Amino acid sequence: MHFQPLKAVALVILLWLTYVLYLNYSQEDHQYVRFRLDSSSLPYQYSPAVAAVFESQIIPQPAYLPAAHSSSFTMLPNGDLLAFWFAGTKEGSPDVKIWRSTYHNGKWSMATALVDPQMIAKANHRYVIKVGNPVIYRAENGVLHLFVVSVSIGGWSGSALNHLTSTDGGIHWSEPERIVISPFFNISTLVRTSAVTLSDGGFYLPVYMELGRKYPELLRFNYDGKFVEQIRITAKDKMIQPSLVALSSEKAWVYFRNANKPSEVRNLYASFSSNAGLSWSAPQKTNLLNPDSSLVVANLGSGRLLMVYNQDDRSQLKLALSRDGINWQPFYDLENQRGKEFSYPSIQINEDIVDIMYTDDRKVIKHVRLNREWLDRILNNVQY
Amino acid sequence: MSSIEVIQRIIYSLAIALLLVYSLGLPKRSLFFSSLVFCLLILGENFIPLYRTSSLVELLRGATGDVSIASGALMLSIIANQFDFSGSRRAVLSRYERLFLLFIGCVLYLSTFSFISFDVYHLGYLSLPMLLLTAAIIFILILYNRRMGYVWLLALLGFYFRLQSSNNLWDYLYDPILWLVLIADSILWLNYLIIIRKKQLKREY
Repeated sequence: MHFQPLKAVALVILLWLTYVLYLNYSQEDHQYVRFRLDSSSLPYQYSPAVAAVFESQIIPQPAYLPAAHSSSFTMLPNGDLLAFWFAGTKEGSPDVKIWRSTYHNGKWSMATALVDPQMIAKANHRYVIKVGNPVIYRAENGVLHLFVVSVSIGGWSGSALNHLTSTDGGIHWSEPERIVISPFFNISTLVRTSAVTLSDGGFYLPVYMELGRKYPELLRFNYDGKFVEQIRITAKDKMIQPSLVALSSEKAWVYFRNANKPSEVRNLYASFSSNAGLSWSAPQKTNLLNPDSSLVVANLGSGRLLMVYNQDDRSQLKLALSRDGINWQPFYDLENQRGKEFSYPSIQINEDIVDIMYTDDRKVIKHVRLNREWLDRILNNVQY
Repeated sequence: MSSIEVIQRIIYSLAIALLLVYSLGLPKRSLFFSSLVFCLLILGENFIPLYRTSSLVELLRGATGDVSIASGALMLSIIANQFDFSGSRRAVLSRYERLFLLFIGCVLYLSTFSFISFDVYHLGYLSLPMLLLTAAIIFILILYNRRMGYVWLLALLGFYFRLQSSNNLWDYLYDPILWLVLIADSILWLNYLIIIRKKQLKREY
């Protein structure tokens, strides 16, 4: 080996780089991640309701939209709701756009389009053929984060994740930014369920991979809304659309849609974390089945969890309650009509009010608002 | 357009134009003509809408995502190698380096497809073992004057300056295009070995 100036310079650069990257690494707090349970990001306060409330509405959308699916919503500081879903000719068509509507003074506004494939293609300088599955999240600092999947080639397993933000309550939005999550052509990342707030002001966004095997992950974002890292929940196949629910600052359950074939027994699986989502238990069976359908779980407080789910097929949408996260007691049918589909629920609990949104027969999005008083009365009737 | 987009566009444009110019065998005919075609191709693949207002570069980027800095640097290194007429020209990557990279790709992508339960990609979020291991490999390669060492050093620099839209070191060191090229290269090499072996056997009998 001879001394060569280029080699010497390269080695010096390497040592400097290793040192500064090590400093960056040591400055980051890798282990201190905690869930935030309180609704401090939602200053709007409801007055305790006396009467039981249960009301439902269809969100109005233009008559030329025959299909709608996969809604997601969040509450704004003034108590309004902001909802997003995709609608168009049919799921996966190039004319499908991401639509939005606002719930104000008890009424939903007429839907307007926000994101389409051309908009994402233009912003990312790459071809995009279809969009789907929007998820909205309102961060602790008030910034709205909208995640949308886009596909350039093939089916949903070729999806990439796009991120838009709004700092003025959803009036103006940033250009879509493609998040790099997968090392394999950055494809096959999908999102469906809502994010969960962390104590540092960041959040976990549950996602799932669909290339080859199907498995769930969490994406961690920091206070500024920048993507930090992803955490694999489990490598178990066919576990998708994870619904994350925090129980305390460190404990959480995550529930999976079971994407196995109908010929197999499709149990509803859940994993548990006791270190704020940094690692997860192997998926364990609950007492429910899952007909390859999306579900959501929310924390009602007082050790009670509420699930909105499909039981045998998508013609029934049910509510169930659990105290241990494994054994669930169905107690109410939100929908039950043979031949129709009620699916892809979203849920938010703000103080006394529980808002639920879901796809109604793949045509429109339905919103159900109920309160704790109503829940308690129903639960007393079924003697849970 | 961000600087990241510009870098990626340049890499893609160069790669497509060079691939077309070399596959048509133009440099052997006329250097001027091949340079002219090269420039026209660069313009055409960026600005001519081919499908739904997307250019060739945009269509390809939609399908394949971003190229790693390492792949871009390797490509440039291979091009530069074509102009080495010193007589002592050697391959940019040795057979062992190619096999090493192929092995890394297999582990990384099998883990990504969840056939390996351990998440190898997660190490790339600046984990200490990944940083030290990468630095050690680069150190040894540079010490032995291997070009791959300089290529990975560039990738590490790119990671520090966030020259790609990823914050994972793997996306700077590796990409599936490199992996697929290495798989094809290994198949051709194995085929070559089999032919050589057959010829040897013929001679023996």
